[in-house]
Amino acid sequence: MKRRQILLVEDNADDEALTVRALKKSNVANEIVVVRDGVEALDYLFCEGAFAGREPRALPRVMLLDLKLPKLDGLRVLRRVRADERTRLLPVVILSSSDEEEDRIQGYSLGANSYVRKPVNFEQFLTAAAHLGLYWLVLNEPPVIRNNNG
Amino acid sequence: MEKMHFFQPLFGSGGFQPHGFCYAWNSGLVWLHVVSDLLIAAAYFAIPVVLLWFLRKRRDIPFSWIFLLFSVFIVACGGTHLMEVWNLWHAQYWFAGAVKAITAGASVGTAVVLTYTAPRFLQVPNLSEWCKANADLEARIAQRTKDLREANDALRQNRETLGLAQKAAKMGVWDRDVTAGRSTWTTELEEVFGLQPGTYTDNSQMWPNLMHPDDLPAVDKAVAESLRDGSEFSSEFRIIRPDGKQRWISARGSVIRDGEGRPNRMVGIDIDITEQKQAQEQIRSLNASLETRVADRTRDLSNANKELESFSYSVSHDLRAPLRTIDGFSLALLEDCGGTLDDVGKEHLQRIRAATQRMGALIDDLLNLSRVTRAQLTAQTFDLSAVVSSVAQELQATQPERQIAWRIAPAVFATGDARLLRVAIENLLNNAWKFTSKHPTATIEFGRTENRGCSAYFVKDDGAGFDPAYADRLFGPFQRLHATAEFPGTGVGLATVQRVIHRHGGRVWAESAVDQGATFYFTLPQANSEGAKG
Repeated sequence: MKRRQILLVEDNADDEALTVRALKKSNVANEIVVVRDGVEALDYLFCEGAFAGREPRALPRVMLLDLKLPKLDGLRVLRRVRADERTRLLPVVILSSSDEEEDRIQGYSLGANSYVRKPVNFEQFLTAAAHLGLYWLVLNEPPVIRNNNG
Repeated sequence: MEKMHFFQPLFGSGGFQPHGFCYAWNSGLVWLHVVSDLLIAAAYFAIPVVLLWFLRKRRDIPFSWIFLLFSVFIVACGGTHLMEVWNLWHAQYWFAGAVKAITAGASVGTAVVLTYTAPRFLQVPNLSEWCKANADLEARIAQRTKDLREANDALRQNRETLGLAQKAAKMGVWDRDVTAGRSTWTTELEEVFGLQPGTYTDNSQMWPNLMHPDDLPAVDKAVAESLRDGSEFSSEFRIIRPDGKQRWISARGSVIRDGEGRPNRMVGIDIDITEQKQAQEQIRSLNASLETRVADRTRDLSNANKELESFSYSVSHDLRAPLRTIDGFSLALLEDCGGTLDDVGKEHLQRIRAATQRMGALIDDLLNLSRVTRAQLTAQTFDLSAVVSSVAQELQATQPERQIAWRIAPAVFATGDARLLRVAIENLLNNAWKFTSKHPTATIEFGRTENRGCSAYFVKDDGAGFDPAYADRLFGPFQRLHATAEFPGTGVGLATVQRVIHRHGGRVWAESAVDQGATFYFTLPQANSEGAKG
């Protein structure tokens, strides 16, 4: 069985490159799909817009969601994901520069599964990415999601 | 002639001798009798005249008919004496006897009547009693007159006091007879309405003319309501004085009912409340402007706070992202191209990475400071010693090998925001931890003590200390008294401590000497005082 994808929602190309690098260095073998804003993220998940014909149509294994995004910010994306029956149970990890308590509270309130702060120090970032990969892609048993799209 | 015949024996001498014959016509004796009897008769006739005159003058005399009886009896006595004189020369003794008989009848009648009436005479007060009663009466009248005069004086004084009070209170009294449709006003009330004393006339035009036309219907309605159900009348309205000036009046009145319970009078007062109204209006407008200003200020503050929040949010996200890129790619460069870089190049990259991390720490500290400034305070009383112990344990865990003697006074309580005070304690202990790091062993102390005349919490260390000359610079952000190489830090920690303590309404200060360690003191207002400031 082909490993399911990781959806990375990140508008900053540097952060994207560093996150991908960190995940790869942590031996994450899943394909990493990157989208640039909140609207693209939802399009991908619901196979709409530019992603109307994507294959396979299965949901990603986990969504790594930045909070500060163009068009639709991370918290709004999360609200829509949790409100929709198809994506209600999708594991969502918020990956943010912010350590504002308000962001954390809101993130968890809206149903985020994890909140990880992106540290300035890249070594710390690597450690965080390794933990993330190990936990969400190896240890965590995701719920069986019946995807109406696929 | 028959009549003559009947009287003949009465007026006849009957053959008797006149009485002078008995005196042998001795002229001395005869004249003695004549003169004496005439004088007695004259006196007897005079006495009733005097009595009658007296009775005419004194009609109040009781039993006056007794005096009439006396008069008859005395006149009769006088008659017998005249007869004595007559009989000296004329022997008409039958006639004299008849006169005597009449006198006897009058005398006996008078005696009998007097006997029966005498007890009733006793009931008539005698003169001394009359005099005493009279004197009592006089005294009582005098007393009553005095009382009346005093009452009158008191009344006048009261009236004057009332008048003064009314004048002072700018009020006057009115009394309206509803049945008669008539009102009376005190002169003070006229003064309130700007009228000359005594000029208020009760014609139907004067009152409406004095009233502000806008307020008249409401006042009329209030009066009618009070008269209908007997309730207290109370109203505020404007009047227009004859000179055109407008004044505010507060009126109150009570309804008085007649014997059958129908309201027939209203009595009340009118008070000039123009000054109060003006003061109220002033206060109201001041309050309104104050509220507007407070609202403006609050909005400004709230806007500033929002801006600060969005600024901090921005800083938190956007300032850190480039640092992460610099650090991340520096490391990527070291890892990917390490082979082509010499040691100098590698050291440059390490310096870049150290700087980014320092910048990251600065940003984090600044965000902390701003968070402390913005955070809502929730006051509670809690065990500060427990917080100190917990922070101390965390610090010790970072470097278990360090020999620190922690002397934490137990059960020192504080009232304030537990989260913010923990931030303050973290910074103070961090400080102590850092500045004792050059010593192989150190003591860090926490407790409560008296300093500068007040009870203060303190954190004391025996580390590097600082030059007291720079003590005032300690709490400013980015102020550092030591080189970063010597003791790392951003210079924001103590600024954060000060912000936390100031937000609680407390004070913070420090005492030290170089190499003598440092003691940081802070105070918090007592639990019951709302000293916490926003």
